[in-house]
Amino acid sequence: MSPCGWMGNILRVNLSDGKIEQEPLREELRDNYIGGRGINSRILYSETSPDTDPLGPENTIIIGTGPVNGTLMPTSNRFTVSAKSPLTGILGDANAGGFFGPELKYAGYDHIVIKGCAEKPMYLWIDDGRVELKDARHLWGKHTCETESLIKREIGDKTIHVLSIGQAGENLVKIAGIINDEEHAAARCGLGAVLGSKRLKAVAVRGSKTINIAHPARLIELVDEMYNDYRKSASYHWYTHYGGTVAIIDMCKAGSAPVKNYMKSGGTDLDRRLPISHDRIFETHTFKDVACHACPLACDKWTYVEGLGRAKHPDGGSFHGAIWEIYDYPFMVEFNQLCDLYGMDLYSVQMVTAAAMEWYEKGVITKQDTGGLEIRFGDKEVVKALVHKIAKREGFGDILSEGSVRAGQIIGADPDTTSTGGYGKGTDHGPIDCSAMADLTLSLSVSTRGAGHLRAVAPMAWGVSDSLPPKWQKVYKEAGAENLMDKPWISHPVKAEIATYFESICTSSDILEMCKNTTEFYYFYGYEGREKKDDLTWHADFLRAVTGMNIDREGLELITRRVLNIEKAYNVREGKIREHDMPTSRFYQKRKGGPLDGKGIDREGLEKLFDHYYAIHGWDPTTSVPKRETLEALGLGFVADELENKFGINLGSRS
Amino acid sequence: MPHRKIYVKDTESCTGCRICEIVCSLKYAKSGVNPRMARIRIEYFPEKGFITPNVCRLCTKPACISACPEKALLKDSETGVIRVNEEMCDGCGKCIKACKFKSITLHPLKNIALVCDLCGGDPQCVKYCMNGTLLFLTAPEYKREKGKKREVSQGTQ
Repeated sequence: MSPCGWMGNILRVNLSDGKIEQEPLREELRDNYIGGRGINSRILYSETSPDTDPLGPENTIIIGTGPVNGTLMPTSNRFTVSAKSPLTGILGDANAGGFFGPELKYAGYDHIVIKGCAEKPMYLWIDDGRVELKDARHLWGKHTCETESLIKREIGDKTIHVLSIGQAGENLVKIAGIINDEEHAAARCGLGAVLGSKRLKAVAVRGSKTINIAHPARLIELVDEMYNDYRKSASYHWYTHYGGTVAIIDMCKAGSAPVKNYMKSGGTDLDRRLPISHDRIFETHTFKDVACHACPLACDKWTYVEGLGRAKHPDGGSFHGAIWEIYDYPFMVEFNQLCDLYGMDLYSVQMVTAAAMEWYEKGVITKQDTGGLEIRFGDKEVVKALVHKIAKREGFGDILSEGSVRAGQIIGADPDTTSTGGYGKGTDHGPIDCSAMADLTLSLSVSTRGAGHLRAVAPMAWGVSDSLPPKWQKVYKEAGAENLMDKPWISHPVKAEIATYFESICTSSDILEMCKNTTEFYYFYGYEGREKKDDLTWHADFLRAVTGMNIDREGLELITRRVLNIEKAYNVREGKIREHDMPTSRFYQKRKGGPLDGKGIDREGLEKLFDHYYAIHGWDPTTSVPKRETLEALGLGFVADELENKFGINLGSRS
Repeated sequence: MPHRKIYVKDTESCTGCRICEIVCSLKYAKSGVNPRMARIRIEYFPEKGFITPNVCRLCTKPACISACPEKALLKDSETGVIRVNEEMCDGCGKCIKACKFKSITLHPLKNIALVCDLCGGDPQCVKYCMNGTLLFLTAPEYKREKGKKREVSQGTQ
């Protein structure tokens, strides 16, 4: 009998010689990294190196699920895809919800490790223990939805679950993503291009095995407790109704919603956003709440737009048409759909097209560069044309398909125009205006996958809550920083501590492969019932109930630290240190207008905030390299040895 | 006394979270979960814009029973539930074809028909449905419930 929670198997596929093997999930991996992003990062650390070409056959792409995945635990539906990123050349991972992750477990696998490169397009079909590579030449060139339905028809079962890449991945677009169950995207870091380079069009899966549960009665008890908390919570009711879109107006009022590629200050366009605010749209367009596996929140919505018919409602981020100065809901739905069909990261597409508009406006590029296209702010047709060009790598789209940071470098644009935290790592951070927001800047910039808003950002940093929850008011008071609670532009060590706390929560969610929407990270903080248990505590409770392993809050926190450190070591090995974490100078500009008018981050203060963050982690503040003692305390002595002996990186004194 | 049975309130409220399938499979598999072993199934019609659960309607003249060549299906006169004799069922699938409500499925490993038995009177799927899509009522109660809904919708118009 397989262990409880985990299925106990890793599937290894080599596309070069077609070899498919199954190996047991080692106890050492399970106990030290739990699953999902944790085990993915551990495997990636040892199976890729600085010599690995992200688009070469030697790159390894890992699809990972967690031990609680596919059970009754609320929102236990995600899976993480990890590989060396073609966009950044460092650790790349992205995760998605839907039903693919649970189904992979029902088929008997915790992780799939894919290497090599197929001679002709293939797709992987996993039907319980029967795994085969099938010809996908007829699917090459098809968009993600069509690929999915063609595979379902071919297998003759519409209940199977499929992840696939679209034309963007095939064309090695560096901002290509992976789409599963039609509308869920593991999009960040350009991992779609990794599958494209391997000529693996899709992975289809069907499973009939059961996930064993160590203590079913305890699991039910914990679920009951959570559902009761949900029912009592006011935020549950509005979040299930509006989904992520509810945050847009709040973000705008707080000044974290960007305008015109950050050229204008965040929040200066409230009057233009109100006509397409969540309450208006939900009256006129959306008609149905849709959920992922085991999720009582159902934040996904179906919407109806004339000309398009039923479509996915664009969530919070993609709603930011303001980045191009476009305020048009049907257009945003269409843009969202185009990115899904081509299989692209819509954040990155937004950022690179908005940057192109700035370059055009400033004369860095002209009509000659763009193939006659006038890339002006506010032009919907131009955005659509660029999306097609990027996905097909046509004309000017070929440069933009490299992502905003590299496209800016090719063109010779000022780095500020690709406004991004952690600029040196090469990922754009999605549409969030961090200037004058020290904690938001810190947590976006230090993310181990480049820049990411799903790694460490405290909810209050977005400005989505009207007032700070009591728990955090206490933290501020204890740090003697009471007067700073409503001053996001001021750097104070307490902000690094809060970022670290949320970093553990986000990492723990990624390791367990559950959604962050149900944690303190988003909206469910501070309400009655959840106060008594912080997220790591209930994560550990569920882990114990499902797997029977002996783990508590502290144990889980230690594991999140271990995962973060191995990821950091991965990036250090690639030469990415503190200077690459720092944001571009546009972040230091003073705001003009909007809610934070005249405010800006003080560079010296921010540097100190970074110092403090690295010190909390036991990393050298000047370089951000983990110290030997930090790595050894986490059982990562082998990482320390490798960094010192093989790569000549100084980790401080030997213990 | 009319039987209580599981009603699907409407097709708008179901989010397709499959929690009903998961609790059902946990109930029957005892120590494990897989929605494919559930006696209630979610069916997706994305192109038509709706999602609906399929579950046994406790028909008065069940087509599944007349279709079974092995006589493995039997209606419980007390509760109205259709019982499957696991030893007699050979998994031929004729009942599945006969059920126009798509409420019978095949156990993927044991190869026997799966029909809802209302968890002996306390259906777990209804208990855990956070959307209020699933209702466990008698026919007159359901009629009243529908009437209420109509009143409300007329009131708002």
